Amino acid sequence: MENKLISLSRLGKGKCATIEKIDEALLPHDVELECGELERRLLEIGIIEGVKVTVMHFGLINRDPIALQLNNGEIMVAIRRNEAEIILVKPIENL
Amino acid sequence: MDISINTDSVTEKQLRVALVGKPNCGKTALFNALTGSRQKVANYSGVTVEKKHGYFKTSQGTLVTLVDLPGTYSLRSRSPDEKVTRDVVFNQFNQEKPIDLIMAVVDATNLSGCLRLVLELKQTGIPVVIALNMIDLAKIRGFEYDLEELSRQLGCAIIPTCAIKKRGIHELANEIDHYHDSLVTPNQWREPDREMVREYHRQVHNIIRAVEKRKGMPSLWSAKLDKLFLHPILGLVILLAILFGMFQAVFTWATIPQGWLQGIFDSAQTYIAGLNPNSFVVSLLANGIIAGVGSVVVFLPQILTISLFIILLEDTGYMARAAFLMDKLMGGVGLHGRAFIPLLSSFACAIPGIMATRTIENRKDRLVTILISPLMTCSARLPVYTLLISAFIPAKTVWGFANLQGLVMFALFAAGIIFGLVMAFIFKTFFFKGDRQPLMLELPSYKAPNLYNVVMELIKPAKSFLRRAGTIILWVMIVIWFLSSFPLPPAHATEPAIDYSIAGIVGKFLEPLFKPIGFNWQIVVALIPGMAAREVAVSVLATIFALSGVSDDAVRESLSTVLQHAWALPTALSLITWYVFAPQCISTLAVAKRETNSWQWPVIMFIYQMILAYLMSWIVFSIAGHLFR
Repeated sequence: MENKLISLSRLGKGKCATIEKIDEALLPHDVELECGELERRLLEIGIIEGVKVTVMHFGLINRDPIALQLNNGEIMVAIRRNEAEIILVKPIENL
Repeated sequence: MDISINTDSVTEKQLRVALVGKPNCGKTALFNALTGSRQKVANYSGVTVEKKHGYFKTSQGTLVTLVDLPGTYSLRSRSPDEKVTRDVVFNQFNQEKPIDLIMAVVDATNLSGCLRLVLELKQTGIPVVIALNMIDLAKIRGFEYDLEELSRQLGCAIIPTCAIKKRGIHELANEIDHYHDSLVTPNQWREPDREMVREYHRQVHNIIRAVEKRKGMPSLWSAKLDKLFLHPILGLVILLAILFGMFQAVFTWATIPQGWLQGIFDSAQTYIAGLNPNSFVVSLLANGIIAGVGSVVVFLPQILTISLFIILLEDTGYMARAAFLMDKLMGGVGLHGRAFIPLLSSFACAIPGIMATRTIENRKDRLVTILISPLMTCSARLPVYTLLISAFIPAKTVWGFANLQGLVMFALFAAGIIFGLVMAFIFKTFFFKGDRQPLMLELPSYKAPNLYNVVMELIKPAKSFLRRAGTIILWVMIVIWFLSSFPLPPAHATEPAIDYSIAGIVGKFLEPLFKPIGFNWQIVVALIPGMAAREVAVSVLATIFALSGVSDDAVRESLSTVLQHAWALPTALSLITWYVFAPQCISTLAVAKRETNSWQWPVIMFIYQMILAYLMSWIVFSIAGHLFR
């Protein structure tokens, strides 16, 4: 399991992971934002490499959006499944 | 002492201080605690921005103008709201004095989220003072910081505060006295790109490592509450229950104080009208001003109730959860989750609703939200709905528990929402093609609302409503009274006086245009001033019927009884429908113009609403005409 990065959008409810890489190039479709903007917005709200995320809640339809706890509850943020695609994480096995 | 003020040593020292911080850091509470009631809301001339200023004096007598700025994550501007903050900090509004000092509000329970903005603010070269807010909460949760080290690392003064308990407020105010213009350095701020954002975060991380003596616990309460409120199904049920409770409160609790107000105005009108039945001045006072303004002011309890709910939802942190729950549903018609908050505010009034769209980053999303916000049933429509429903819909109980009048009211709200969503879908599909914008929403921890703040925030809509009643509505009432009183009827008139007046003539001239949807000339007369403010239509009808003197007794009875005799049911239903859709509010159009900076959007808004209103009224009138013949 080591070194295997998965997209945050594939992480199940209640699972923890460390953010390893945020890369816009992974986005499966186009957005109207200028280059680097999506990445920058994620960074600004606190989704940064090295941060520990816990998937807390899902929305009703298609489990979208996703509510994430950052750094053990320092802050909670919500993003859509779409944007979660570009966030690569390393899962932390729950004890 | 200070030598820099020798030029104006006679006048006292004055400083402009900008209050800057992330959303949900307790900035508004701090603003209220510092300035109390000495606040002023006005618009920057020429630009689309509302400015909130407050004033206070430090212990050394410095007069401080505190500028409250919208919450922002960064000085770069991605939404119109964030642009305001940047423009004020960099003094883009030339008619104003530049900012002398920045007061940065930092949430003590979330340093890592707040310090990046502080680092950015330091780059501007303007001296920064930090209010380390919510320090009490941070202590309870176990956070401990080395404040001296933090102050040294950041290079600015740090005052721990607890705005809602008013702790540290004096110290914060007095810290401003240490300002000296030699502290100002050249501006080095550049818009951070993604790598710079990462670099800022690394710095923040290092600072926190150096100053954090103990790391606190996350809010356990918030986590527990979120299990309930963000539950995919239960959460939506709770949201619906809250909205239902909100509308119930408006139509049940608020009607009690409304009855008292109504009683006061009624007796005042009767008393004054009785003083001298033949005097024009008395007629103007009683039938024009008191009847007209009174019939609007009685809706103050409703406006306060709906505003109270919105303030509480915002203050407790629930509003962000609502946006989370609604995001996917609203996404179905192409709206952004953030659009939920402006649309909910539009139920109080479309004007703050449209202004609240400033938090929506994308222009297209913002325009669609602005265009549909007038379809949300604002409180100004309540007088019209309440009057017509109480006159034409029987108050019987259906299904064992629900009041039929309440159900009709609910249906009107629902119609506004449904057609709002339909229009959003149409706009989004045909006029604003494009991908959905990303959602990035912070879900702040829940907080108990603070009474002082709630009252301070509640006073604002109450003030602006009463100011409207005292200005626009007052003038409209006087003009209407005049138009419907002159010219005087001929000596041996057979019809009521108003038939011979200017209002009667105009109404009758326009009547054919509205005949297909069942409106008579009295309604047409009421619609025209109703453009100034929807609720005026009720007062105008009151004035017209008071003047057309169906009979003196009938006027003393309530207006709704009078209408029952004067109108057929299809006409009433058609008018109700008209009010769901019609662009009956000049202020809304004016705000849309101001906020979009072009005439194009208010014009489109007016036209689509007009077509929709006429069409729907015609359908309702035709169907009702067949059913209730």
